Amino acid sequence: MIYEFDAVIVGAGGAGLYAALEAGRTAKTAVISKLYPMRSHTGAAQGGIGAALGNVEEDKPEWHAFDTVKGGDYLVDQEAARILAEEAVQTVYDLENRGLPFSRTPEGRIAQRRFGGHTRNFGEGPVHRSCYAADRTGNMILQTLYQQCIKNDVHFFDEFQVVELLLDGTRCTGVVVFELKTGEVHIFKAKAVLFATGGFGRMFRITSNALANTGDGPAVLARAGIPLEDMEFFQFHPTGIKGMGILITEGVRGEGGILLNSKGERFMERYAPTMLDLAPRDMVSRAIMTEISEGRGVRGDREIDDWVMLDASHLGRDVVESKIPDIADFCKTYLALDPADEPMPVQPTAHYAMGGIPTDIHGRVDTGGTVYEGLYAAGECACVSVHGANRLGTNSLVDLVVFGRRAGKHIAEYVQNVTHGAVDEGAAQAYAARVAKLKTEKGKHPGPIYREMQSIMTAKVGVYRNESNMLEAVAAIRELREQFKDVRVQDTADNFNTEVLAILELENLLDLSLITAASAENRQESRGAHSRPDYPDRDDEVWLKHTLARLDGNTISIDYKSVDVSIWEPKPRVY
Amino acid sequence: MNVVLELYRQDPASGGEGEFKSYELALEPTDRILDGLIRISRDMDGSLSFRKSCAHGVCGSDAMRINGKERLACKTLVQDVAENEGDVVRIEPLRHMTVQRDLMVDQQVFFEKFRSVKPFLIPQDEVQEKERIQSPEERALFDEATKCINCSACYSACPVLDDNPDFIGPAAIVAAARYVLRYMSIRVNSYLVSTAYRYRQKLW
Repeated sequence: MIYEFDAVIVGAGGAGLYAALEAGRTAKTAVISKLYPMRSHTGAAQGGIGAALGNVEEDKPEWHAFDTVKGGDYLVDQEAARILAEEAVQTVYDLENRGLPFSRTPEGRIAQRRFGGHTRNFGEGPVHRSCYAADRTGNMILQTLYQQCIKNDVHFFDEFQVVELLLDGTRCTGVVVFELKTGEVHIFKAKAVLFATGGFGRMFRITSNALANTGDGPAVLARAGIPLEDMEFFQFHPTGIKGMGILITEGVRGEGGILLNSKGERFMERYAPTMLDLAPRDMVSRAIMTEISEGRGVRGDREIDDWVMLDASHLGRDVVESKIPDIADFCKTYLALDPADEPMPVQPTAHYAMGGIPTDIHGRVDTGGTVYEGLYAAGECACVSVHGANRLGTNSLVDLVVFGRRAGKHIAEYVQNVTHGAVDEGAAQAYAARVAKLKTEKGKHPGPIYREMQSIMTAKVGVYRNESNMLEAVAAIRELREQFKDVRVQDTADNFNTEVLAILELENLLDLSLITAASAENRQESRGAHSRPDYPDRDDEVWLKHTLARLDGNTISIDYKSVDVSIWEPKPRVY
Repeated sequence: MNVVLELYRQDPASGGEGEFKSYELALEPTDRILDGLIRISRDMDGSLSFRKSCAHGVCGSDAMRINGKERLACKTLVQDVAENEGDVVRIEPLRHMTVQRDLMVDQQVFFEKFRSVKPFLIPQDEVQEKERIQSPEERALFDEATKCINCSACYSACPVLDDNPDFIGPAAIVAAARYVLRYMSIRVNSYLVSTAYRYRQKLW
């Protein structure tokens, strides 16, 4: 079928829904999601959304912006960070006014807690900035925005997977979409398309990400020849449940939880004397991996799958049950332990892509020289860049709502003044033929390739990476991409063929794994989440620049884009 | 340990009747049932259809009936439903919704009923300050009602729906109750609040 809308929003998480609400004010808007409503991974965000409301103590957006820049190890575009911090305040009030059930202070205002890397007065000490709804803030944002979409009659296409971008030169004219229910391939003609497809942590074995986080948006754009920005910067959250990767929010440490090694030492005292356990995530993850590699992990064998302990038992049962109830529930379900009584076994878990689709502050795809007309991205799949080399906790939710909203507003304006562009209507048929080929020949199961990709990325492009490991990873992923050509489905049905979907997702992850590994191998310095023992220092002279990596067959070509350092001069990063 | 997952299989599009098919596989007692389903689909039988996403009980995708009870496959560990080597775990789709394929059911009716209660804030008052003022106690009043993840397990388990398919179901009532309780908390009508509180206790 051929559908026609002014605006198509791909993805129904926080960024997509906020953009849909804004775009829908003037534009005929459709939201395409591969999931059912309210299943998107925004719903898994726990600890809070940062905004300098000052409800608990003095705070200023300027401090928030500075923390964001410093937290990102100065690879952040500073004007974008200023917008992030300033607009966060009004956006949080807007969400509250629309019914988001924030936790409350005794005075009845939105409650705020401490979070990693968020400081008062440019680094003096931790500040209460994270606005939270217990430990399910993301879920409340997702629910509230979806409820508003119901109220505003937003048009949803559930379980539709975007597979190709339609471009006329550098102008976006629509997308090609695979419908799970029927197996049909459709064309969605649109004046503007926003990608808000979230992250791609599933390229790693240990991850906090949902099974659906397969980077569909960035991969589709990469295959259309659009370079991706700063893909080497992937955040490993310090506290995932051992072996499973399920997130234990930084809010546990924000409430006073502490990390302990096998000797019972509070080891963060040695790595970040001021911020301690609330240092930024890259530093805490490195500290944990250093403790492990020096034999002070719980098992003590120096292997990368060893772990440390996160202790919240001294906080008391009341705090655990009121402030982090879901965490307590996860621990009981998966570890058979009660965090009010005993510490939790944790290890770093692949959590968040700082890099992604390059955009400007309006969400328009902008590769530093070319602005793609009618093509937008927001949220985790985008790179504005407000997170630079390392995102601060709570800033993912801020990014979603602030830049989802900005992109939606821009789209609402933009579509008023343009007509539909030309689309190649044969694109749907061509894609359908590709899917049919997956069914007509015999081939391999995708399982072994999936597991191999995840093992390689975890072992060789993890918290610490070095030259030889990354070269091995690049070669191995290339080989897996070759093997992938022999993967076929067993399921030949048209309706609800989840196997076809799984294979399309694996293809996306393989493409993004290659771009990530190659971008990482290329950057010869250590900055933020990109830590190289062979190049241990940050090198502003050569590397204060964004990577732009272009996928071409099985090779990656690298280019660069300058960093906006117009407000604060880069300084050494100490906490 | 080796367990046998006995899975409901059906493809209504090809006119097929439902049947159970058994898959034997080695799982750790602490693995999730979802891990077993993923293993089967990736390595043994790619035609198995089921929904999944967050894999830790937050998104609500993988509700199904496991040994006769509505549960999330990602929050059910093997040891919760199988004790001994070779134990059989029977997995079926949710009830009261049409099977689309295997363990996937059409939740459209569930979401339509959810939408029908207008599950959103209809402001009764102007916001006087930047945010509405609400005490922690008022906030606590409807806390339980914010926890629903719309997995539709309750819709499957609800005995009322056995006899009356038009019943909107527990989740939609919870969504409505959330805003009713919230309005009451704003107006601080102690009688209504205490009545609502007792009602809530019964509902859960």
